[in-house]
Amino acid sequence: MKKVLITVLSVFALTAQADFLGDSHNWNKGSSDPFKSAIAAAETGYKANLAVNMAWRDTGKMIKEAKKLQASGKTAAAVALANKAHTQTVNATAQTPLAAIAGPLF
Amino acid sequence: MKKIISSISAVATLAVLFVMPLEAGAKEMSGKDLAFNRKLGNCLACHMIVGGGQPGNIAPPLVAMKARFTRDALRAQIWDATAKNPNSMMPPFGKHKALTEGQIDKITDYIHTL
Amino acid sequence: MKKLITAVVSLGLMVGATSAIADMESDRKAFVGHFKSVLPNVEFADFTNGVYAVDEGSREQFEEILDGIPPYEEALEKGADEFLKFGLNKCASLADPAAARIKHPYFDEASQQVVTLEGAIKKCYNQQTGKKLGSSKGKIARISAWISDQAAGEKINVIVESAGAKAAYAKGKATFYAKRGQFNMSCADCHVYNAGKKARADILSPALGHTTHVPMYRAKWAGLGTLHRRYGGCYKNMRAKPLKSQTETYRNMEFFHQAMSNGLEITDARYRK
Repeated sequence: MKKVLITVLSVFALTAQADFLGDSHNWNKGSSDPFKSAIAAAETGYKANLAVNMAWRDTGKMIKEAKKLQASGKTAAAVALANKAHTQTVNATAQTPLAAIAGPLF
Repeated sequence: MKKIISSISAVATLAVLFVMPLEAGAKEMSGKDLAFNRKLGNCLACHMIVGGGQPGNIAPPLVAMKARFTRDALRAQIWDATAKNPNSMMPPFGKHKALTEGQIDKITDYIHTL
Repeated sequence: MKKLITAVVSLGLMVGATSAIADMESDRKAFVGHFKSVLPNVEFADFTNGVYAVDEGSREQFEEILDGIPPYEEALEKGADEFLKFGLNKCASLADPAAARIKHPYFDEASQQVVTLEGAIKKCYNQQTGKKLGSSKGKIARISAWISDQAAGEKINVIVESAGAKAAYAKGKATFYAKRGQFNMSCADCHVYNAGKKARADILSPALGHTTHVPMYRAKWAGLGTLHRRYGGCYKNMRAKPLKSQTETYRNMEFFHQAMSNGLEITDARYRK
């Protein structure tokens, strides 16, 4: 009975942990392809933003950090961060055409 | 005796496993905390909020919110103020992911009570 | 017939092009007019004093600091020594320091680039010593501040005439008004539209007059810094990646930014919070 209780509690606890850690923890040490494409998208976008002086402050750091995570085997977290960096570059790109024609409101 | 010790340690381990996430949950910031935090909502940078020290006066004071906004309209304003007014100086917290969706929900709930 | 069409088309293009290129003087008048409407109690000449022209309490502190020994006094003395020590008086561009401060920034037709005072100092320093000089703080800020002190009381007078100058000015203007970074803010959002208002406890300084006291001493920096150093700080605040000091984009922005302060006196009261 005690054994069953401990098992049940263990499973429950581990599940709770897993839920809490969510996608910031790597449960799938499989192929690194999703990371490759995510980081490539982020880097391409970032380069384009830099070229027009419209890059965001933290995108470069996020790309670096994502690579570190990937190197230490935390693929899920690495992909998530690379995607975040990519989203930043998409938003920065959206600002670019408006920036070129910006002027006073008076 | 040994059995008791092992079951105690098992319980202790389980307790740690349980408490960790719960504690992390307990430490989560309230909507007010998020709104006042300089690195998160930082609403006080521009808006007066009753109870908030050294507010800015760039933007309207956050009062009588329920009379002025439905919850949805308020959330939309926090998520992307430039949707309504492209010239707005307010950062599009949701659109530009300066805050998470969950944080925006909490801030919205808090601000809507003002 | 074809010739006529070409002529008409090119005339049309020319008209289009000139109307697209901003006219600095009418921009400046509108700029000054804006500040008159948002800060009606501030005299035009007092805009050299930034937030101290806006807030009485801050002004008292400012004047107390200036009445004593300003925290940048030693740095300015050092800058004077360095100007001679590194032979910067031997470069034609800097031989007359007061004139150099008034002349820069200007549009150089040969290189089709805006030349800033710090750019001229860097170039001269390199010619005289064979070494490179930084762009944001330390030696360059001390030297540039000392040069600027020599022009105290004279008026800013940026000239924007040639097509090249107008194009650089227009780019600088767009940079100034463009929203950027994760916070989607422009320089103008704080320092034009909301000048004089408070962000938390800080009063937002008016952009009109910004360039009259650069390089400035900031309590926050506990030292002197160039205008471009401040640009970098503002970019970071908007969560945009700061550009390197003296890059073309910042030089163009300085060209616009200084031109908006034409007619204001350069001041040696370079203390800021």
